[in-house]
Amino acid sequence: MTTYKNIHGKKIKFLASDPPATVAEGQVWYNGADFKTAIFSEAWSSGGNLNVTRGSLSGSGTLTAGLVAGGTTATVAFEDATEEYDGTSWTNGGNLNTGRKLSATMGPQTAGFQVGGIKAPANTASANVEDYDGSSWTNGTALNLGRYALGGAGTNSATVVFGGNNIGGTGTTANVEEWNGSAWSEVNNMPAAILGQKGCGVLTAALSIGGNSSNVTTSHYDGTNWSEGGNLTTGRGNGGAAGTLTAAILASGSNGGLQAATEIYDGTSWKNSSDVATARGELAGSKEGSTASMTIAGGESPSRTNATEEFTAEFSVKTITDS
Amino acid sequence: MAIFIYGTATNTGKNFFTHQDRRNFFLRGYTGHDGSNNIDTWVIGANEKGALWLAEKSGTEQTKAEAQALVKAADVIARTAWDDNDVDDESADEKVARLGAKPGFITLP
Repeated sequence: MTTYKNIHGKKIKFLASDPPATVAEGQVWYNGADFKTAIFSEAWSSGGNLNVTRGSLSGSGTLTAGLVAGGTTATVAFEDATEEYDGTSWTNGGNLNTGRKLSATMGPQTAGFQVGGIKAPANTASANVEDYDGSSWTNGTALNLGRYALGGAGTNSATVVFGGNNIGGTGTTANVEEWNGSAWSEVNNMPAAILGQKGCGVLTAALSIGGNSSNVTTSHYDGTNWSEGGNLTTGRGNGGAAGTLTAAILASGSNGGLQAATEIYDGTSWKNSSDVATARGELAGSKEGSTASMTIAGGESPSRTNATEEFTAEFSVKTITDS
Repeated sequence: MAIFIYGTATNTGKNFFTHQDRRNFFLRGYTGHDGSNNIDTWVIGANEKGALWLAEKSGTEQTKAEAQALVKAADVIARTAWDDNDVDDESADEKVARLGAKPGFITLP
């Protein structure tokens, strides 16, 4: 009978107890009862469904403290509903003062910051800004340029918003504005006019990712200037993004067809990860999440959905079996 | 042997499918429509764990053609809604900019 050593050229270690999965990835050992190995996996699982089925909403927060607001439903063109996620289920929060869709939302669940969008009447580009404290929204200082499908990064005291579309006015724009906690100021334009891109990071280290319809570009913002980053494998707009300039994740979105792809960025290049189960566009992503933990919720698939998915990356010890 | 199982099962939310399920079998969800309501329609990897998952979720297995018909019906509704979403004096390009491209028809794998 052959042995493991004859096949692989080395023996398997005997370990009385399993080592931590995080340090044993790819190793094989015998613990006196079973052959074991440790693996790393990334996957999307289902989360609690939204209370309000909607698309064109925006989101922020994290997997265990998420926030979504606005959007559009079968009966409400410009939704004002807000929901908070605890990692299991969504609970209704305070309504937006101005219902709108395709806004940008930044910040944690208890310090949300929603900017721009489309609002009534007649699909007006919104310059509205609202602050969320975990229970209610307060009107803030309006943007200089109203816009929807904009990108945004930062917090309620240090924000950058970029691109989008000013309906009936300048149209799709490269315009960028910064918020310092007390005023908006126009700063250096993006490299190109764009809408439907996703933003994440902070004011001084932000990303603009993709855009309508099949834009593959990633742009870096350092608080002053824009520079070119790595290209997406699957160009798309209106996906869900989270993370930082050097560790970002983009999930799903649309480029004419709905995309299930997830990609992870290291500051230089994108690599493919596990697909979402239900591809969708105009969804909400938990922008304060990470490459190891985020949610997407709602969106157009192409009908509006209330489905939530949770992305997790985990190390685990597995018993090797013959099946 | 078939590569996929097709079925319908209502997504009940948390833990309807798990991280481990996604490692065990292929799973892709689509919105279908039965003429009255949206129907969660699934394409599932045709292995033992995939088949068990559909059964445990009280799902109903469909033929590929049946599943495709459900998804196509939902696509038609979404496309009609897109057609009907007009704004006075808006150009075709402006409409695409506002709504995104008109939804296409999804072909199940």
